[in-house]
Amino acid sequence: MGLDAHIATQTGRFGSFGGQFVAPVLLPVLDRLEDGFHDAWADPAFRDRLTLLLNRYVGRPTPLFDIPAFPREAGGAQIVLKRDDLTFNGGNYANSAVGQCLLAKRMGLEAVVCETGSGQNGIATAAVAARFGMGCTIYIGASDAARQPTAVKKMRLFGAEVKVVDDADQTLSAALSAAMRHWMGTSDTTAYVAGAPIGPHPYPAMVAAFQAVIGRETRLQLIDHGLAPSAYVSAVGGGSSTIGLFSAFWGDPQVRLIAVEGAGANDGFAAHAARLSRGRRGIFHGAETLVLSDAQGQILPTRSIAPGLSYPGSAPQLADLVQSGRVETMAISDAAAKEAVLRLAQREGILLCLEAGHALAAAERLALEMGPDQSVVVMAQSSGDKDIETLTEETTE
Amino acid sequence: MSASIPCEQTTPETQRIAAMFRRLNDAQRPAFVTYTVAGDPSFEACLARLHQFVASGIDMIEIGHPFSDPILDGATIQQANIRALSAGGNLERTLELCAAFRTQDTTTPLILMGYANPLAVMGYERFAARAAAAGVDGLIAGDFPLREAGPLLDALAHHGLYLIPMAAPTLAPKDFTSEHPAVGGFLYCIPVVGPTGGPSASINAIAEGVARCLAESSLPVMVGFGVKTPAMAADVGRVADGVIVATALIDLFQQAAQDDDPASPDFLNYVGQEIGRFRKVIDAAP
Repeated sequence: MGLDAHIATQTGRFGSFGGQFVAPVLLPVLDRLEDGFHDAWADPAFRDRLTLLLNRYVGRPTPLFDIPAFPREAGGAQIVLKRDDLTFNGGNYANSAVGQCLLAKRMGLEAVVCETGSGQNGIATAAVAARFGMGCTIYIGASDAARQPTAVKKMRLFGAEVKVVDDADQTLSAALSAAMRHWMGTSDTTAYVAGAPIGPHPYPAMVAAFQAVIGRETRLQLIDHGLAPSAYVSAVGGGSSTIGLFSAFWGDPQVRLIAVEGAGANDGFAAHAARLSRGRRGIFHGAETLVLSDAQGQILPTRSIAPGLSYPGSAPQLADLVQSGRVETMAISDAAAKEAVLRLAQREGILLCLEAGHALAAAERLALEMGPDQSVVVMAQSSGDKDIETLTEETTE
Repeated sequence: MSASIPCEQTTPETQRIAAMFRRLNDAQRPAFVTYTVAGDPSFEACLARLHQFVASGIDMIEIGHPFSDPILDGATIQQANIRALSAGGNLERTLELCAAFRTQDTTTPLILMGYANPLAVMGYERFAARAAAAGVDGLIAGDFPLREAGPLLDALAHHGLYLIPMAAPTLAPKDFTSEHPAVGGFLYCIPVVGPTGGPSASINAIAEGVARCLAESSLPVMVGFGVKTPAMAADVGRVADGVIVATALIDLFQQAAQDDDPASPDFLNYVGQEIGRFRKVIDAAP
């Protein structure tokens, strides 16, 4: 499977997924953004500025590092982490927050609005907006805000106006809808900063372009380390780190790309977040994609211990890659993800977020099916500081 | 335009929308349209309200099919969606409501209004067939712009339904006009940006928006979003073929529903009075 099969073709379609399912009033705004992005992306000065900010403000390149003491059983493949948890603010979200704020500034906009689930996109955007002197409004679901009070305080410290959303399921989806409504009324002065490669074209392609730095770096580092991994594993919320990592490896048919979804409380899938494997084709938040909805097309509530995974839609590019078979999916329960995070902290002194814990648990299972001469790369998209409350709670199971 | 060439010509069975505009044109009156979410707060109360609308001067009804995530709507219509969903509302029940309405009213145009996902999940062809059978005349799909609507338009055309295009001041004509036979009915002119229930545009801005619509399209032009008072509705009625009042009326009805059973004669009388109050001022406008 070549790269060409997975680039956006007509009006932002990835295969049959994607598109621009938005209120008509947003069409000219999206058209302007598309032009502005193409213009900036082709401008060496813009790319240089972006690279400089990624290196010195975000803290790239982030290391690739192995975790030999982590596995419970010896003999499996080596697991290495791509450590975007070590960026200065917001984990891997900083990559696209810097890119989109830089673009907004270039397009003459004076403020940004975004939503956040795990808090990371909000922190990244708030920090960058502070650096660029832009106004910043951030929507977060009430349930997510309650679970991650420190993240909310950090966004406010950066000068952002944080709005807590009581609607719907009070998580990422509700926050995204609220941010979209805000943007619809203010699009002449305000840029919407997408945390993930979801939503209407050109957001999926644009966020993927800004996140591709993860995969490019990883490729070079693997050469340095003399590794040729058999599999790349990443937990999927909106899909920003997953697409960022995988994008450098679409064209390597011998490697497995595995997107890990949140299975929620147990394996009964009462409420979960596994829409790539169990969703149905639908139209949600601006794109045709795989969605968790019922037979009447109503969006279903999601549940995951990792707030960043609790989202009923999916990146249209990932939907296409899953449907075509290039990307595989696995589902990991809350308990397995939490256990993986705790064990990594205790054995390696690395505290990752619960989102990454899902990928870690999945990678451990895969590694056991492989030999010790093989390796698996796990995406560590952000640190576990935000999850300390959840991680230190007594387990009820 | 991404809309493809349809396999067969649109053959509307009813032409209720065109008949309504002819009737109003003869009477020299603008159309007065309102919106309600199907099944808010119950199937029966909603059905009674629809008939009350017509009895007190509404010419056309937009019926919202409830959705769990009404991203383009402000707080009032979000709450209405929540009430309808908790009463078991969905796209199927909405079509049943339309069919029930049609057993007593064969002339008032019904425009289904809502979001794309329930249509996509039902399947466009199946949806269009069922909507036509239920007596629906057209569809307003807030998150389904013409440039994405090819397969939906073909299905609507097979069953004689219209997709109502939406125009905004910032929109290029290619985004609200189309030669596709399923694009028609009227042009929904939105003079403000932002979700429903938001701020109002000035009457001058509305008049400019309508003039631009009329210059680019041969369809009748209706104005919605931000029309809050009888006086403003009357102003809009002077410059457009019709005026749509949604959030402002739902707010009034909802206040009354706090104290009254929404299916009771008292409540329906109140609905009739408020609709009548708007209608009177709209019709009195020179």
